Amino acid sequence: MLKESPRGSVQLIRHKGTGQRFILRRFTGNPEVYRKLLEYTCPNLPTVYEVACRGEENLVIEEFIEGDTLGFLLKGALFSQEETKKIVRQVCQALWVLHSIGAVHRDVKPENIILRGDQAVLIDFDAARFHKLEAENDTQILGTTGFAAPEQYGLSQSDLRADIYAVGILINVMLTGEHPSRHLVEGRMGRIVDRCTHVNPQRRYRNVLRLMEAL
Amino acid sequence: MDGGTKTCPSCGAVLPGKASFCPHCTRDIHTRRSVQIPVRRWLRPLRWTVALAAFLLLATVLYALFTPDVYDAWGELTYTADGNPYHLVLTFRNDPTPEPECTVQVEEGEHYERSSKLFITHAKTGVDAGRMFSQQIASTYVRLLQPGDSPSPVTWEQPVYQDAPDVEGLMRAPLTFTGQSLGPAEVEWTLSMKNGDTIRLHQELIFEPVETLDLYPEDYPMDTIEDLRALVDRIEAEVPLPTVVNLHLPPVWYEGGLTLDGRPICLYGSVDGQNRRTAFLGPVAVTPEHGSRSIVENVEFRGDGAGTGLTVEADGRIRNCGFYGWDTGLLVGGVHWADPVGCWFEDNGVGFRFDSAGDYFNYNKFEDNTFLRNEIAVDLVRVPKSREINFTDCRFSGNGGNIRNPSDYPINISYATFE
Repeated sequence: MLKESPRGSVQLIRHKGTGQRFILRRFTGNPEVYRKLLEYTCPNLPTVYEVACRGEENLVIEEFIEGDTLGFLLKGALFSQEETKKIVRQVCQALWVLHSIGAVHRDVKPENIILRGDQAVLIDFDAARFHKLEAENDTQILGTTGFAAPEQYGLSQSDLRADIYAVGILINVMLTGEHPSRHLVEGRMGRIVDRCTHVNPQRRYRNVLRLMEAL
Repeated sequence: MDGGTKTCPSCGAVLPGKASFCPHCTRDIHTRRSVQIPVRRWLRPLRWTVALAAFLLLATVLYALFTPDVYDAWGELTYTADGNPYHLVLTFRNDPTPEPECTVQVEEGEHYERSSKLFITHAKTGVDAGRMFSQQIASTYVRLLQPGDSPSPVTWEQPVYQDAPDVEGLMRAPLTFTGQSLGPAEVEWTLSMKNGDTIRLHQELIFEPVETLDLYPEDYPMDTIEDLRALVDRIEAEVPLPTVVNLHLPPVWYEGGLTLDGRPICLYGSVDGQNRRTAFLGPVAVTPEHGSRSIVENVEFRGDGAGTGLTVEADGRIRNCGFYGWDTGLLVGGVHWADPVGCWFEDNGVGFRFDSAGDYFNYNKFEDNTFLRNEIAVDLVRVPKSREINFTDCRFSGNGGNIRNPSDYPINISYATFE
């Protein structure tokens, strides 16, 4: 058992026949993002193998990513600017896949990024939702304090720019170990963080591609 | 599950129809697609190109700003200093009309003086900007390039600033030459600017020798006014321009007047042993339609209280003449400039009246004149370009009024004598 909460659990399972390990998620709620990800493959996202639903209960079998999370690695040391750029670019590629299918991850943080060799993989789509243009604000407050954009607190409907906000926080934490409100990284990276985390979503990068170009 | 069944392509196990994954062999049996990241790969080279272009532009601007420039032109050029465009003009004229080339007719044995002038106006408005521009000049140098075998080389002086730059130019470099000078002579002005720039302006002086015809009383009848009029008619009919005609008159008193309204004819009077000079007892008018200057020298004009002794509507030189008993002794009119020097004005209503409506001006030192017992010695009705008139060494004595100057034209009487 890797994680357990009132909403569900995450287990590491091993196939008896092949010995291959998988992640088995049980959760209640909307499995739509997982269903959609069945059709896609991306080296920076875990492969979703199967999604099964019964009533409100959902079961998801997904690829087990072997490696350390950024959250774990950050306890030991900070990342250099080059390392940060390389990892964040890969996170952006993962987000581009999500955003291109209309989904918002809404929980980008060091603990949800696993480094598999020199490959960064964005995991955990429990908080992910499809962005609805007509919705004025988020019906459910999800995400992680510090990484969640202001609009995720119900101020307005969160869209892909909420993920850009979280990536900005991620960059700052990887370089300084601190939230930008306490210590903003200096120089050009600081300006990128500043733009990512603007209170007004309109002033942030329009999409992750622009952020990748800035990086 | 609904949707029938299918078999695993890997292990052959029977699976639900919607299965994406085979739990028997753990093979992924779902068709997947990868998402292409539309990275704008052209952006980086474009950015480099833009950055390079910006750098080159900046370098060019900095080079242009901080590297002294050399400007070279004939007659005129436009130069920008402190954001103001200036029009620099070289000319021999009294206005800022460029003269990259000027042809001067010269007579053998004559001496000439011309001034190369630098006019500076604001390029957009045409307003004189000499004073403002002069603040940008560090130094000015003029040199002359002329044929090395000239028997009478042109001489020149370095330029000096003028008091009235709008009509005299900001600076003037006098040149002197003779009828024997060989041309063309190239005048080169070099202006070294305070910002390091160098401006070179050139103009060329070309000499065109003209024939001179001197007529003497020994050779041609001119003892009476009738003879003289006939001779003048013949000259006007037979002698083409630009030949210069000098009429050397005998020391007789001509009983009448003379009008020279065809071509310029210069009149030179003479004196006999009894100190009797050439004189006209009737009015004389020098009003040629075309041609170069007219000279009247050493001639008296004697009247009976009415009329005008000598009317000059030409580029004229009046030297050592006498005007006695006229309503107006000498009238310079039309649109011309003539300057009396060494003349005697006595017992006239007005000794000398200047009433020219033109812009042209020339020699402004009306020196060595004597004004004696005139009602008004000098009457300045209209003076071209308000050019200052200098009465150096003039003598005013017994006149009803010395200088009538209702329009307050500039005059210089510092070295005149009033008795």
